[in-house]
Amino acid sequence: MIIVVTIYSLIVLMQFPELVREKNLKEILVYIIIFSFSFVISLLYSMGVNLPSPYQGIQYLIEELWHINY
Amino acid sequence: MSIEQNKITNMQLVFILTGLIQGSILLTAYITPLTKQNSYLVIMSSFIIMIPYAIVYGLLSQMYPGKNLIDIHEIVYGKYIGKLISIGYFFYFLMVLSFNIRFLGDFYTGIIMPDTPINFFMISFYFACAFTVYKGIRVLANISNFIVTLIYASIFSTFLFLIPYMDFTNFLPVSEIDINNFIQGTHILLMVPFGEIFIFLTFADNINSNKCNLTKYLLAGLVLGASCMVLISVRDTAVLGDMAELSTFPASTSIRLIEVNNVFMRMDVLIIIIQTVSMFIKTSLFYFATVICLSNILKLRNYYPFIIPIGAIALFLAITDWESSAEALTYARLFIPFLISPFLHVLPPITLLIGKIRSKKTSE
Repeated sequence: MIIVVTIYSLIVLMQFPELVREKNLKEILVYIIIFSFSFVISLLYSMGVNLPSPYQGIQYLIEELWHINY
Repeated sequence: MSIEQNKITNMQLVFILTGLIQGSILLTAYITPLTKQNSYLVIMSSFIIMIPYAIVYGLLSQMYPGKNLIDIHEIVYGKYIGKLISIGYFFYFLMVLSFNIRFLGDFYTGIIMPDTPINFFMISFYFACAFTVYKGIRVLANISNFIVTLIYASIFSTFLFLIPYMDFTNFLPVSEIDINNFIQGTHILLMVPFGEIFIFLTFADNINSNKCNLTKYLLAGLVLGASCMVLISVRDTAVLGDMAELSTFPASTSIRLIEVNNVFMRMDVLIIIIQTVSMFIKTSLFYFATVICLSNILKLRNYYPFIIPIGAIALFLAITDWESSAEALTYARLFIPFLISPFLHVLPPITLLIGKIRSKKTSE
């Protein structure tokens, strides 16, 4: 968990000031959303939280719901 | 909209596409249990079916010179539907990116270092690819020239070294294959290595001569990539026979047999290098496509800040993909072809058709 926080802090310190300097609000907003999402899932994973894979959902959709199979 | 100013030449496009297909050379392991000694026939049939699709992709780029995939969608389908379709493609690229990161991890833990945590390989690979994406498509194209040549040289040399171990009766009986397995094998190959050449449309605005027809360059990349796969499949079937379907990575198993006067031994290291560099090209390309796709959908000026977070999401997906490489094999055989089909073989012809009708109406 400490490693994840350290790496993400370093990335923010390297990238965010540059984004702010460019004063592009749209880019800053998109960056915050994607970065936060990526940080939260990485943090949860490092804490040992069992996060479901979206591919299991896709598998269910194809196999059980649509019955598409060889 | 062209975010990346570095342009690549048509020949570099050929090398990139060949490298992309070579990135799936170990995929023959996915179809061998289905197609057995006839894997080479399945590869050739997928290649033949792929030709009209390559022409469709080429025509799309010719119809909209200087435009990338996202621009084309917006022109053809309108702003909102176009964006929605592009978002679908973004998730497709992200999914393939995560699969490739995972596949490399499985390859390393399955063959070389079974006791090392898979995450170590995947994280290292992710950073290497992120660095390449940061450098841009031109750098990727430049290294593709070298890597593709290296892969070709190693495939030819291992083929020659393995000739004494080959038994061509392993191909008998010719064409005795269950039709369902044949269709499934063709479908898998059509989707995963061959159909993926579609990715060039995401950076079509970065190809130098947009006004000329790119179809012949797409076909050249396809021919070079497919010939690599056929060579590998023939080599592994001739050397291993029925054993090929039992091995997770037949290429590695067959190359391990090479022993020339006690000088050339344990050449499976070669396959590890080849696989790593070829997957590096493929993964970097999908990484680039994912990031550029997002930037173009949201009309951002710069894609650089999104390289690390997007890669981290792909890495997370790669980690949670599946428990073992056997599970990955099942997923690749049963679900991936159906999941990818709409993006590579349904939407592009529809886009071309609607685009043609629209341009005809406009000219009238």
